[in-house]
This record gives sequence, structure tokens and C-alpha cells, in this order.
Amino acid sequence: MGEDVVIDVRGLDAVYDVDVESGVYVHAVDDVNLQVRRGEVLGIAGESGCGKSTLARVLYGFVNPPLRVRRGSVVISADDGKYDVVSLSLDERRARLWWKVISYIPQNAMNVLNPVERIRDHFIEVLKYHSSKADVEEVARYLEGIGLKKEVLNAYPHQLSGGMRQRIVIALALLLNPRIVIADEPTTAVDVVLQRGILQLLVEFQKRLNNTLVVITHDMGVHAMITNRVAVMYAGNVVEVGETSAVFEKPLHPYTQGLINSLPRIGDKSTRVGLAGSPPDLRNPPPGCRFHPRCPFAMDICRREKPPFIEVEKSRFVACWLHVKR
Amino acid sequence: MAALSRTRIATSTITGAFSRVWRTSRKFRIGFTIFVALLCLGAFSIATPSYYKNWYYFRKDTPPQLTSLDFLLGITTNGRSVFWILVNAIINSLAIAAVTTLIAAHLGLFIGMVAGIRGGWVDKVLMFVTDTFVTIPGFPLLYVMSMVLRPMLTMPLLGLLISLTSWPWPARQVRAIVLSLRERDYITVARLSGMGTGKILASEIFPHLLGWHLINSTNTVLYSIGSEAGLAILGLSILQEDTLGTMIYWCQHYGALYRGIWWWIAPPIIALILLFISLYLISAGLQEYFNPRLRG
Amino acid sequence: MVSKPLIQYLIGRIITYVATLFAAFTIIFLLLKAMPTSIVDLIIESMRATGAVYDPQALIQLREALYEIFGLKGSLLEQYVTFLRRFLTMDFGPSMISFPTPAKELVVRYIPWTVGLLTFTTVLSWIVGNFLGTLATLFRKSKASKVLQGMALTLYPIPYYILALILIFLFAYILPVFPIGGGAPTAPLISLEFWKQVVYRSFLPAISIILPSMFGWWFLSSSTLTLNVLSEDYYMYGELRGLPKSYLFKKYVLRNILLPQTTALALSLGGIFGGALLTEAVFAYPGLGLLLYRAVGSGDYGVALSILSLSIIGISTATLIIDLIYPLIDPRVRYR
Repeated sequence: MGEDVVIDVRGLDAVYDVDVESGVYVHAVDDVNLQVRRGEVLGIAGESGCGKSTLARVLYGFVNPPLRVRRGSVVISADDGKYDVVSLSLDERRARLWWKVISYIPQNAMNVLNPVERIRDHFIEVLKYHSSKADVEEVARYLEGIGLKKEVLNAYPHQLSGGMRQRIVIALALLLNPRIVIADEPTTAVDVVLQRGILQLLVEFQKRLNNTLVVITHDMGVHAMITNRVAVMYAGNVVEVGETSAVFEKPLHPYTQGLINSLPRIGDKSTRVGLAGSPPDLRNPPPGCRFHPRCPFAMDICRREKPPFIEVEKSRFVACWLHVKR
Repeated sequence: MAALSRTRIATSTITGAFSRVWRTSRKFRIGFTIFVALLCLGAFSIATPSYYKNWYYFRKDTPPQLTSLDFLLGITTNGRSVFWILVNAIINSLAIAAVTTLIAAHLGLFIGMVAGIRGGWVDKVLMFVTDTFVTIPGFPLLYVMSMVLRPMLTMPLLGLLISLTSWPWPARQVRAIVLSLRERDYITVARLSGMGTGKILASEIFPHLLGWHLINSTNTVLYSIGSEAGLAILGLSILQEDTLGTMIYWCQHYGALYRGIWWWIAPPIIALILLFISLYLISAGLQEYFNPRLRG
Repeated sequence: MVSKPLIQYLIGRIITYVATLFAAFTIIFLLLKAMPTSIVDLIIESMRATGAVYDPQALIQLREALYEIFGLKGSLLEQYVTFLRRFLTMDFGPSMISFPTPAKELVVRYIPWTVGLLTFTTVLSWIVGNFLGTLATLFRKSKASKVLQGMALTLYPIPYYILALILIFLFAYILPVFPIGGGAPTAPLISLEFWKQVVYRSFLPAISIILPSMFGWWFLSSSTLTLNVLSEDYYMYGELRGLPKSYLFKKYVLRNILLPQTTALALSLGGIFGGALLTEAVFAYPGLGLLLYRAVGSGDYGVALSILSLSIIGISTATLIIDLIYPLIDPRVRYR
């Protein structure tokens, strides 16, 4: 593993148990291999239900039943060594990694604050349980650095607007200056103006603190705007990874092509073509390549065997039989 | 022909729903079983011999013997068979509760629906009346009314009386549910597409309410049996009839406990407890079915 | 902190309080008027039924006096006003039980016992019940929790007075330890003996109320509420940030179920009171319940109505107090 890889994911497999007795489960993350590099902004793209949020949770280590990791490793390199999130216990994850090394901005960030606690208590409790000092003054200065007045500290969540609450959640995530920040759908359910502000905030902080940002979103526009590299997921598999500009200009996987082609472009007045069909039921995924039922280029082998995840060019990965040299 | 098939559909829907609830909730299974067992016990009352109301028919204060049904649970201080009193008492208590539920649960359902659907000042007035009744502590009101109506108290009248204090709760419940349903999108769609209030009520809202109506009814039955027993302890029930409450009253009256006549006081208490627990489990089971979050 | 919407809320509550009291008394007035027999007739009837012969003149005077007491004299409006006045002052003339002591005085004498028992059991049950219910739900896989759950399901539906009967059966008949019928304590007020007697007499009634209330009702309702909180986004976010379970229990769960449970407390006071009255009657505990039992037995409508009036005013006021305190615990109401 290279020195600048900050999260190394190998063979990760995670499922949601639907019915333990009959062995029915939703196969949400299927044999994922991914490297997140230090200081980059990595995007994870894909439509709803493709497993990207689940992947994010497993990377972080927030795994509660019915979610279960079956195989694989997620090795995070912190200042004091490397840790495999999967093999650590919950207490160890909490003690060594959470919020200090890696933090998480959840989906629906506007509703995650405790309605009966003041904002400042949200900060104090994080400080109390992850470091020793709980200095309100410092928190106030920190917030001012984000553009939030320090009066906000005494307020209750319901008194603030949705946008302000979003900023607070971001502020909480960055409080202890973690190396890695995972942002799950930070701009969904938010208006366009707010979106821009949030993205700017995230990028600004990433540059300032020089940490690594992993952005999960189905919005390709967000990926185009802020990510350095992007990983595309479909039905629990990572199907393509590469530098954002490269993936957008020349998508290799048919699914990625479909995604990119459906985006509007300035100057191009032709009709946008979407992808036919819908994602498979992950309780019973199709054999072989999971995309083959919708793929216009499906070959016989695609229906039988899963394509390997290979590096076709430098730092360019794809899982598709079209790109496997025989 | 059409009517027959409609009944068939109705019964199959009901049996279908019933088996679904039965499969889902263990609480419901246990509760329903106990309740049915008690009903079966009460069913013995059909075979009540004609002498069962006669005082001093048997030798008083005889402990239980297995010789015959008459002596199965012993004899009271009035010389009557505890067994026959018990089975009649179960039925009578349930009968009173049935009257209460018929009145209170449906009155509550109606008021709750109207208040929830109409809104505005209709809602405010109805809720004010409901809240006022909630403010009047149920039991004190009950005993005052029972005292005044004592000379002419019959079982249906008692049932009506108890419903006076039990209708507010279902009303509030139903109103809350109607309010939350109202905000749902499909109701707005129905309204915007021109459906009348009555039709919306019947086809969209009512099916959801049915479940809660069932739960409210079960709770009302429970409340009614308890209220009757409570009134009886003070001597305000129908003392000439046999209900679970009056059994206890007469026990107390004759000091059965201090004299060791345990076979007279134990059966009604056990029956009451079993009724309460089973009815509650049925209600909780139904709630589990309608609100999956509550399942274990 | 004291904002205009808050003041509006408080004033609104007080107005509702007064309006509801008047509405309640009016409803009772109407109900009594709708009865086929009036209270006065019933009293006269019961007096005649004893077989004694009364001087007709005295009877008429008695009737007049009774009409005055129970608000049956004069026009409908006059009756209503008299009735209201009597209800508000709990003044229903002399009692039958211990004539000529005013009914009001009798009631007042028995109040402290009931209030003491009720306050103690209600507060204890609410606090401990909520605590246990929440804790048990957080650790709902554990054996102890399952035992408590089972206990709660069995205890909750049992009314206090039925449990009272069972307790009498157990403790007085099988295992004679506590008294079953006592009346007021005999020792002087400020003495250890007095308080020992109080505890001795209160123990079983208190248990009858505490068991279904604490381990039943408050346990179950807080359990349900806790399940709701556990599925909320803000709880998940607390876990996500690595906050320990003990902290989440205090600040995230307990603190949030405090709100609906306070409202529930206010709503349940009526039911608790009614049940407590009967429990007192069963144990012959020297509180309002025992007084009520005697009043019903002797057809003492004055005392009965006094107790009714007291219960309405008392519970409404207690509910009002809780409502007025509520903004202090719910920031969403305090800051609009």
C-alpha cells in the first residue's frame, strides 16, 4: 500500500439481514476494492440504492444490525499506525478513530441535532468525550471562522434555519481536525444556493486543513464541481474509478456512460438519453455482471461471470468485460 | 347473489386480517386465548339451574368439593353456588362492558372523525367539550351519578353511565389519527380531485381508523369492567344481579375474607385479573400489528 | 427568555383552566337536573324508608333547606348560580354521617392523608417508572429487561383496588402483618409513634398504587417512547459521534421523553385519583376514600358532592401547574 493511501479497502462485502432464519439478505456491498488517497476529494457516485451510503457507513465503522460485514478489510492509516476498521471493536473504533481521525456528516443533516440541547452542548459533548478540554470560547472562535455568529451557540436547533444547522453539522465534523471526512449526500434536500455555500465550505476547509474528503452523492454535478477522483457504484459493486475529468470525458463502463450522457451540456441541444430499466433487487441480484440486463453491450460472458476490477490505465479502474484483454 | 358474495368477501377479509394479527403478535395470541377461555367458562351460564338465585339453597360456607358443578367452587355465605354465580357474573360484566363499548367507542369515533375532518370552530368546540370531560375525574362523576340513579339501576343503564366517562379518550385518539391522515398526500389528491368529505371519510380514512377503533373498543371493555367492579366495591353497582363486581361486594359485606371463605373471593378476583390481562394483551397485540416499530 | 408567545401560552392556559372548570360544573349541574329523581327526593325517601314517622311541618322545612343546599330552589338560573357557588366553595351543608358537622369540614379533615399518599406514590412511580422503562429498553436484550417487561404487561392492566384486594388477601389473611381496617391514628401529631402508624397504615395502599403505576403504566409508556427516540435521526447522530450509551441515556433519551411523559402525567391525574379513592376504601385508609365509602353507605350526598367538587378543582389545578411548568422543560415552547 502506497504511503499516501489513507483508506485502503480490500474485498469488502456487507449485507443487510432481512430474515436470518431463511438466510435472506440484501447484498449491499459486493467485493469492493478502493483506495482513498491523502489530501484528495474522492466522490462516490451512483443512483439511490446502489450501496454508496452503506459503503460510507462501513468505511466509518458504524455497523449496526441488520447491517453486517461478511468479509474484507478497511485499513485506515492514522498518525499512530494503521487500523482495520472491520476488525476493531465498537469501543476501539470510538476510542481511536471516530471523530479524531475520521468523521462523518450524515444524510439529512438538518434533522440530526438533539432538539432539547443547545448548540454549544453539541460541541461540548464531542469535546468532552474525544479530547479533554471543553472550552466554549474556543468553540465560539471556531464557529466565527465558519461564518456563524457566536450567539448561535446558545440557541436550540429549532430556532435556526436549515442552512445554519447544516453548517453546524459540518462544523462538528471538522471540530477535532480529522484526517478524513465522509460527507453523505451533503447537498440533497437543499436548495441550489445553499448547495453552493455548503460545497464551498467543505472545499475551503479541506484545503485549509489539508484533510481527505469523501463525498457520497448521486448528483453528478457535485462530483464535477469539487471532486478530484470519482468512483462509480452500481448495485453494490464499484464499476469505475478514475480522475473526475477523465471519467466525465471518456466514461469506460456502460453504466457510467449512461450516467454522463444523461447530463445536460451547454450548447448541446440534442435529446438526453437516460438508462432503460431499473436497478436489480439486491436480495436476488442477477448472475454475472449485475448490470448486464440493462447493458446495451452485454455479451454472453457478462451473463455468466462477474467482470474483474482491473486497472486499464494509470489510476483508471473499470469492471467490465469490454475492457478485459483476452 | 351479490349480497351473499359480499358477505363472503367480508368474512374472508376479517378472517384474513385476524390470522395476520394472530401470526404477528405473541401478545395477541396469548391474550386472545385467555379471553376465549374465559368466554367458554362464561358459556356455562346457559346451563344455569333455576335454583341458583335462591338464598340458602345449599348449606352455607361449604368449601369446594368435586362432587358436582354446584359444589365445584364451594358455597357462599348466602348458601349459593359460587360456580354458577361466577359463570353468570362473567357474562353479565361483559354484557355491561358491551353496552358501554357500543355507546362510548362509537360516540368517540364519531366525534373524533367530525372534529378531525371539519376542523375550524367545530373542532374547537368539540375538543373543548371533550377536554372538559377529561377534566372531570371519571370515577367521582360515576359514583355521584350512580348514587342518584341507584333505585333504578339496570345493566344497560349502568353501561350507559360508564360510557359517560369513557368516551373522551377514543374521541381524542381518533381525532389525532384523522389529523395526521389528513396531511397525507393522497388525501390532498382526493380532495383536490373533487371528492366530497363524506366519501373521503369512507374510502380513504375509515379503513385506517378501523384498526384503532378496534383497539379503542378493547380498551373501553377493559375500562368498563374495571369501573363496574370499582362501583361495586362502594356498593353502587346492581346488587341484585351477579357481576364480578357485586360478587366482590357481597364477599366484603359478609366479611368472607376474615372468616376464611377464600373460595368466594378468589374466583372473581382471578377472573377479573385474567380478563384485564387478556384484554390488555389483545389491545397491545393489535397495536403492535398496526405500529411495527413497537414489535420487540 | 420571557417572550410574547410564551406569555400568550401561559395566559391561554389560565383562561382554559377557568373556562373548563365552569364548563365542568355546568355539565354536572345539567346531568343532575336530567336525572328522574332529584337528590332531595332521594334523601327524603331514604329517611322515610327507615320507618320513622316525621312531623309533616318539619319535613317541609327540611325539604326547603335541602333545596337550598343542592341548588334546587328558584328559577333555573337561580338554581344554577346557587349550584355554582356551592361547588366552588365545596359547601354542601351539614353532613349526614356526623350531623351537624358541615360536609366541607369532614372532607377537609380527611384531605391530608389522601394528598400525602397520592403525592408520594405518583411522584415516586413517575420518576422511577420512567427511569426503569427507559433503561430496560436501552438494554432490551438482557434477561432482567425481559423479566421487567413481562411484569409490566401483567401489572399494568390491574386496577389499584383489585391489587388492593389481593394484597389484603395475602397480607392480612395468609400473612398477618399489616392492618386491614384502621381509621385514623391515635398518637399525637408530633411523635415517632404517629409517624410509625402512618407508615404502617400507608404501606399496603401505597404498594397497591405503586406496583401497577411504576412497574406497569410508566414503565410501558416510557418503553414505547424510548423505542421512538432510538429510531430518531438525532439519536443515530449521537451514536455516530461516539458518545457513550450512558450519556445518550441521560441527555438524548430521558431528556426527550420527559416532555410527552410530563403531559401524560397531567392527563393521568384524574385516573390515578379515582383509583386511589377506591384503594383507600378497600384498606379503610383514613383518607377521602374511606370518607366516600361511608358517605355512599349512608346516602350522604353532601359529602359525595363535596368530594366530587374537590377532585375537579384539585386535579384541574394540578394539571394547570404542570402546564405552567412545561415551558421550562421544553425549549420548543419556551422559544418560539
